[in-house]
Amino acid sequence: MFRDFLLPKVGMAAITIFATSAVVFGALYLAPGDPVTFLTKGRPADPATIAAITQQYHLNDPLITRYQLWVSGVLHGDLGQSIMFRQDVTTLVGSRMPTTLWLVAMASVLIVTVGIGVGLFSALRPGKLDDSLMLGATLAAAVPIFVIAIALVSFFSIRLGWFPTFGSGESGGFLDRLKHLTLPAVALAFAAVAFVARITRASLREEMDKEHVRAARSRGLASSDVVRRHVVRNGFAPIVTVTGLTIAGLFVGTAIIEKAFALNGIGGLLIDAVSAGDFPVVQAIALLMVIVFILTNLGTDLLQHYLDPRQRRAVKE
Amino acid sequence: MARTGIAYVTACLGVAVTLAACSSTPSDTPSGSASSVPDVTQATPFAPMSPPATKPLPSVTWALAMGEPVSLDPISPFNSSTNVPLANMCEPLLRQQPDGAIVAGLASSFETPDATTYVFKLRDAKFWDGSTMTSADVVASLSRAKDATLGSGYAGDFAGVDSVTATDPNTVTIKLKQADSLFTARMTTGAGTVLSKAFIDKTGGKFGTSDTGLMCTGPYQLESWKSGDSINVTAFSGWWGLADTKPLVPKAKFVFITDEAAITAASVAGDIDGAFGIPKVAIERLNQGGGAGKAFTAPAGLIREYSMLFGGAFGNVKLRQAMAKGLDYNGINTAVFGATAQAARTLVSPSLWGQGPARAVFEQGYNAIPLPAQNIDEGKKLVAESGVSNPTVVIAAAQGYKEQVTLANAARQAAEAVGIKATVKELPVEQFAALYSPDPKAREGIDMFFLTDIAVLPNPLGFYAYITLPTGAGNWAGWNDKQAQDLVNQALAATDPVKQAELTNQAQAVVMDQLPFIPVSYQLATLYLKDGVTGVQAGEPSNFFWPWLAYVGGQ
Repeated sequence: MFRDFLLPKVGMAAITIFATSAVVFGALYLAPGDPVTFLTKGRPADPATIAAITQQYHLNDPLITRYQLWVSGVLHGDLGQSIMFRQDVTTLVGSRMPTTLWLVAMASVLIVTVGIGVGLFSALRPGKLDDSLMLGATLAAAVPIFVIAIALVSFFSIRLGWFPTFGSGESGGFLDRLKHLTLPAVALAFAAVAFVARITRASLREEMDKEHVRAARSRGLASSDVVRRHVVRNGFAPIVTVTGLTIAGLFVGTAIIEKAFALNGIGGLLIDAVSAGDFPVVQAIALLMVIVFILTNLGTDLLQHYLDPRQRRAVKE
Repeated sequence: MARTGIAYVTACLGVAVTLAACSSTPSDTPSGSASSVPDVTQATPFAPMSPPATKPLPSVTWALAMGEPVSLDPISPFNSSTNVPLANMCEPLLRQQPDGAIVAGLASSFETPDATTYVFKLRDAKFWDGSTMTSADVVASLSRAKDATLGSGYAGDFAGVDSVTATDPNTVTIKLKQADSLFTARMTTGAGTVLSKAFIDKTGGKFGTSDTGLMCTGPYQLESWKSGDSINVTAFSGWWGLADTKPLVPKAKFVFITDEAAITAASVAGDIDGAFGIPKVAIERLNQGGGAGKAFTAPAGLIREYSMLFGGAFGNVKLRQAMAKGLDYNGINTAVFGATAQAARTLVSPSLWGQGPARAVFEQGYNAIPLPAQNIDEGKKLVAESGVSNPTVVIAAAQGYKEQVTLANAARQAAEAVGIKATVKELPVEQFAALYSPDPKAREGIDMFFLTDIAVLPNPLGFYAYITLPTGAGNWAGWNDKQAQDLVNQALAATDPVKQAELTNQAQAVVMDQLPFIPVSYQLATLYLKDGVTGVQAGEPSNFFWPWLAYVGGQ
């Protein structure tokens, strides 16, 4: 299993990460915006100042030299210096990472439990409730994320006073964090829950119509056994893939949520860094997001491999 | 002589073009002329924003509406996120009082043996680590502020400074190349802020980042800066000012909330105790009642203005004057700025008049200028007098920023009303920001644009030097008016404050006639206070350099 399956997968992931690192670096080089303008706040600066800044950040070196410098830095755990904060990017991103990870983890739990749960329920219990759940899911998937954020805050924070309006609860304990991140996680997961519920329902319904399931039923096997052994097991492949991809994509959605709830995670930092032309920070976060995406994908593949015997066989053959 | 007045910061990206500031504009075409904008002559500048505090509070949570500061280094370019917390931690040689008076700070007194020499006597102050502040600390701090390569936003304030010397442990002598009547005002800002030399030496170029922190003398000391989460300060038991002022709040936490909806929600729910610079939507929501606190406004050093560029039709002064006659000031201010607008006669808000004998002179000069009003007929006449047939102009706006686009369209309507053909050109933010950069190429083909600018010195001369002199950072358009420049230079050299104010008034009259900028309104400073929290004395700019938190408490 290791040589046939894991090794090529991990190898591919490493190659993808390396290739995207070049794209991430190159794209920013081409993007408009000039760090010198940010550092001098657009005011007249004497040539000596501009020269000092240019040299400090290697702004005049050719692209390839800067890329080499950057890659060798990254491999040594040094992501460079933030132009905006004059701090190590590693510390800057590191201190904001826990909030984003917590947020994504909580949203993922919601997506997996509620999304798959609702889909499962709808698939197995066709009827009015199923119809209205799916209509609700369609609507939910269409509402912009910031609208949900505003609605949740005005109802649960201002009207009912159950949750705080902002902040990550970083300085408090576990429960404080949970309390602070509940609304942001719900807002972040909202559309994804609806999406995953629809996919789950569709996938399971398809399995239920298959011949072997009908045959099993007609032979009088217990309904719960049929569902567990034939429907769910076979129908889960696409659900796992879609859920995995959705969760991997959550990292991008955090930017909006972090701004709306003043969470100051890496999504919010990315927005600030982009508008300030803080290249080292943008590069680091973009690379980080790519890595997380690829790793989540890899995890999904592995899970798929474990769940679906046909895939294992395919590898062996 | 280079007097760049660099302590003024073009706050366009910060104020006029924040994402946050653009989602609430009610319509694209302000119309009507409801006069809900108060005439500033009726307002009392520096009226307390909220009554004095009498009771202690265990702690306060204060929101920074412009987000997490990128640095707490006192020399970093002026920015409300940096300066609002910093004002309570690091102190300048002289202080800008909430009423605009310049009073003793870390220097207990100063003498001017001649017009180009300032001798500062230092008071007996301790840094947070217990060490005594000496003249060596002052010299080291001022050398940093002078050094643009360290990223100092105040280097321009030192352009006229010849030398800074420690005469003895308690005396600092500053020699100027020539008289500068704004010098004491400059020493109330980041330019005159004193840091510990030992700490500067230890931390090198990283002073004031969340890695290294700070070492200053102020009433609050930096306890922690949790990057991405909060800045925490605690009252300093060794503060020299304790004899006069006892802080009522032993600790404060600064949190970072930039989103308009989020800061509105936090104010209404009472999750924060206070915040400066809350957006218009938050004020409107709080004014509806039912929230956990109230919104306040106060005069500030912020001016909303159209910057005129001289490459095309607006090189002609008659056409600039015609443009100013076409604008519907009341309509714009009511529709776009609402409760945060204050009618503007000139480019400098009365909150910058300062104190002393010059104040009355500034007031006189201000009142001599009529409140701008729309007058289409007069505008048409001016266009005819200009001798330019079929004038056309291009008005720039920052793309995607609704307020910007609205204001550019209001200007287009004004131009067309008086007979100037106008088009609006939306530029990406980067390109828009370059309009007020030193690069003249960026302004090619553009005739005017809207921005908000900020003044931090309590003297109108500062702003007029900034937009008039060839070296002024606010003179990006290259306005070259000999008369205005002479008057500003004479005012800068005047040693008598009344004489200085009179010359400033004359320069102001020239500026308001020639219109390198067309004022639209002053932007009021805004404040949120949770019920039960009080003691914020004034608006801006004093809150950026004055230890305002030392006066906050309960009622």
